[in-house]
Amino acid sequence: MAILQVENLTFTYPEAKLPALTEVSFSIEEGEFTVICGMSGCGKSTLLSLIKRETAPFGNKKGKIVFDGSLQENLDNRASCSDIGFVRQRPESQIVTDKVWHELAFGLESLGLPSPVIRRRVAETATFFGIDRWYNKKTTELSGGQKQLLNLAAVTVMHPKLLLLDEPTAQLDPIASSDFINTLRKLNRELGLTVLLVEHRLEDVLPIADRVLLVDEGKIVFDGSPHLLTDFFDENAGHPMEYALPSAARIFRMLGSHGSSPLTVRDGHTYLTRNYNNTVRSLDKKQKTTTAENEMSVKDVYFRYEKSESDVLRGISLDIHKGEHLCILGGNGTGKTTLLNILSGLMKPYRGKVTLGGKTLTKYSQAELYRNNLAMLPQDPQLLFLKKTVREDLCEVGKALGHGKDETEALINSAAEETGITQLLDRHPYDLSGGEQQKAALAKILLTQPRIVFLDEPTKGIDPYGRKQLAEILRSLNAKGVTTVTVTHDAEFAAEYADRCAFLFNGEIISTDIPGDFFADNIFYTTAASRIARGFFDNAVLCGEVAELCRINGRRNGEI
Amino acid sequence: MKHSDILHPVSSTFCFLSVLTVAMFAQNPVFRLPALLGGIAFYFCLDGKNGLRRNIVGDMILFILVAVTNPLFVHNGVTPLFFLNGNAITLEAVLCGIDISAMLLSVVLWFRCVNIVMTSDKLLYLFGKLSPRISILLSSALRFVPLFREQARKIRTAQKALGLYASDSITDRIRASCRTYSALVSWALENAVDTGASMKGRGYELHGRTFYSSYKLKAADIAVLLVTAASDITVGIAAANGSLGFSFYPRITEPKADLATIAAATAFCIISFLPSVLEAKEAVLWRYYRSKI
Repeated sequence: MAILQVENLTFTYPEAKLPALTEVSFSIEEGEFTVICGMSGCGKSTLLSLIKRETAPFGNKKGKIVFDGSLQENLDNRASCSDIGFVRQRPESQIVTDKVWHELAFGLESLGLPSPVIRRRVAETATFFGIDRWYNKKTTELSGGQKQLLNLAAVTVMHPKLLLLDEPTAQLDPIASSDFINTLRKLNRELGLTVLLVEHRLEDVLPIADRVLLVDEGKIVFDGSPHLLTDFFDENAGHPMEYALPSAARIFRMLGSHGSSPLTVRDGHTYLTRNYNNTVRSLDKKQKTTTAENEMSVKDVYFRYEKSESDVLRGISLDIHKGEHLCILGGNGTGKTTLLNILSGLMKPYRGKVTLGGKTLTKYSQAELYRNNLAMLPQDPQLLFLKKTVREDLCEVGKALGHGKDETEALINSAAEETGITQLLDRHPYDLSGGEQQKAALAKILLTQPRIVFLDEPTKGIDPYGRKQLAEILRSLNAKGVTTVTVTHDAEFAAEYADRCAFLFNGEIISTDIPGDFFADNIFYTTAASRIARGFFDNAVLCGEVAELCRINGRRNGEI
Repeated sequence: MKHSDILHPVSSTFCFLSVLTVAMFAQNPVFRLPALLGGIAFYFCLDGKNGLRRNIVGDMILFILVAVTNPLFVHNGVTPLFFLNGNAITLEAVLCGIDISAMLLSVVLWFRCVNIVMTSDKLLYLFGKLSPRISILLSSALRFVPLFREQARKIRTAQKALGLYASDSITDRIRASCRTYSALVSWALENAVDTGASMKGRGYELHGRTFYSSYKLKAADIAVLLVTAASDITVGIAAANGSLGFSFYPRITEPKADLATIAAATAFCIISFLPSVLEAKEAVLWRYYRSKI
């Protein structure tokens, strides 16, 4: 039985010229795991929020939404609240209360259930989600991943029939994000919960989905099995969502195959070994020659937050070359962000030295350090925005730097052009998508004309196409001699775009290498493409490299 | 394990209210002394040596300051001890100063205990009994304060790395604070939209909200309630008799020694020391239980 039916849904936001959704129709069967994907601003989030009556945006709506056999307008208030659970992107802002137990109980209190029932349901849910270990904690003390799990638990406790999730893992690190996806899978497989998930990173979610809907400019352009999604891109070559496909499917497509594509690393590996030879096992990679001129160097740096605590960084030494893109990788709590704060002079080591252009950081005055020298793009770009429009925000920096009006104008225009935000200058910074905010923030810090730009998890929460654009901006900066240092969890990003990668573990730099060597040898901390090619090809880290090797080797004879 | 963690919030609150009311309003030293000593004992049980070490200097200064100030400014009383700049320092004023000091200190100590015992969970429970909605408001306020502070810190650091905070001049710093503040406000509003949707989505606007809490009224909690109530009644009768009143000026009142006063003093003694006795009992029990682990 279809639990949700959407018929000819058209929706226009107030004062918008074009509808956000046009004539959307689909139906979801009970127990289905469906992924809705699409570029930022394609209308997928609007579609999702229209399904839950309580949080539907204002605007002009036409068409029908039928949930569980009754029209959305006729749904019972209570049923509408409890039967559809909604989890949004930002973990922090969805939490209402100060304690974990209270957050879990919130929805049930709203439904007016008696205390013993609430007690039982909360206990049962906490156990299922593994929340029992931090049940008595304050919600502000939780990690991002725990917060998002709590948000999921807090709607599941109301026994929903349908779960709606809007990019729930966008703000999480890879481990927390795969934890979250696994929990979703468990909810779907073990409890038969119907899941409707909006996501633009498909690597982890596509393999467990029963069905995928691709939304483009307010219309559903693909509706079918995830294995067949590659066929859509065959017909629509150059569609930006192509970059979001799981690596196995991308390699499959690059090799010009049609039909049911592999989605997981395992299936990708099987696909390669069944269909291709591996007489040539590795590519001759041209190494990018970097000038070994040191821009910044770190020597034996130790850092701890409090006297009585243990060291966060233990004897870090690192050279940063001029004009390179250095990626610092590492798991959670290994001190990545701390290292970045030390490099950017926001925190000071108690032992060891950081030098910029041969001069110790501490010898620079604050004004000198952050003008024409160092600049930092924080994890949350929103922290940088203070004004009503992006332009005003950029002007503010010009003023602070002491530029005249014309000079500021010229600087803003060139920074905006460099980052591709010229058409966004008059928008409110909070109205931009994640990727656009990132670019606007980058434009803002570029106004100070830095020698080194530090970026903290820049790929968090932006779509694959935005990620590519960001990488291109960084590349053009590198070409101009600006050094970029990125701290990231994102192995795929580092493999594709870094000049060198450093691996931080337990407060130490374990290794520094060019990405090809760095990732080829890793099993866990590496790209999906490298895992697919493991034991079959050597040294292949990117999808393109794997596909290239396949082409060189040719198909196996006698089969297929 | 502290006994006050196990005690039901209603019992704790009732006990605190009873002790604090008498400690604040009864002028008779017969009530003041147990309030002070009981407060010291309970605070010691709760915060141990740590708290005492941290606060003892400040407490002594407060005590001495008030005790000394009173006779310096009040020259009422019939028993001059000596003269200072032609003003009499009287025995009555000295004793009254000590009395006021004792009152202040006991109230400070008991409030410190309230602070430790009445965690946000317990407060929420009490408010939840009155109105579930107030409780939710309180809960989100409690959450918002640390969140706001953290966000302010993040914005400041981010702006600093932009060179906007770079100079140390006062005007620059004020301007920077204004910037942080305005950014905080837009962040808070943006956040509130999400939180609102999350609340609405989970039925905040439905009628008939209940309140969930993990506290259950046990026999021991009821016993504490009954003892406190009995003491309150005795003290109430004595208060109606005028036994709680006391005056230092011009001459110290002869303490009443009738049955009502003695009964009330005894009863008040019991409830002042009840929390610390319970803590001590729990500590002994805990030792015993631990030996069995």
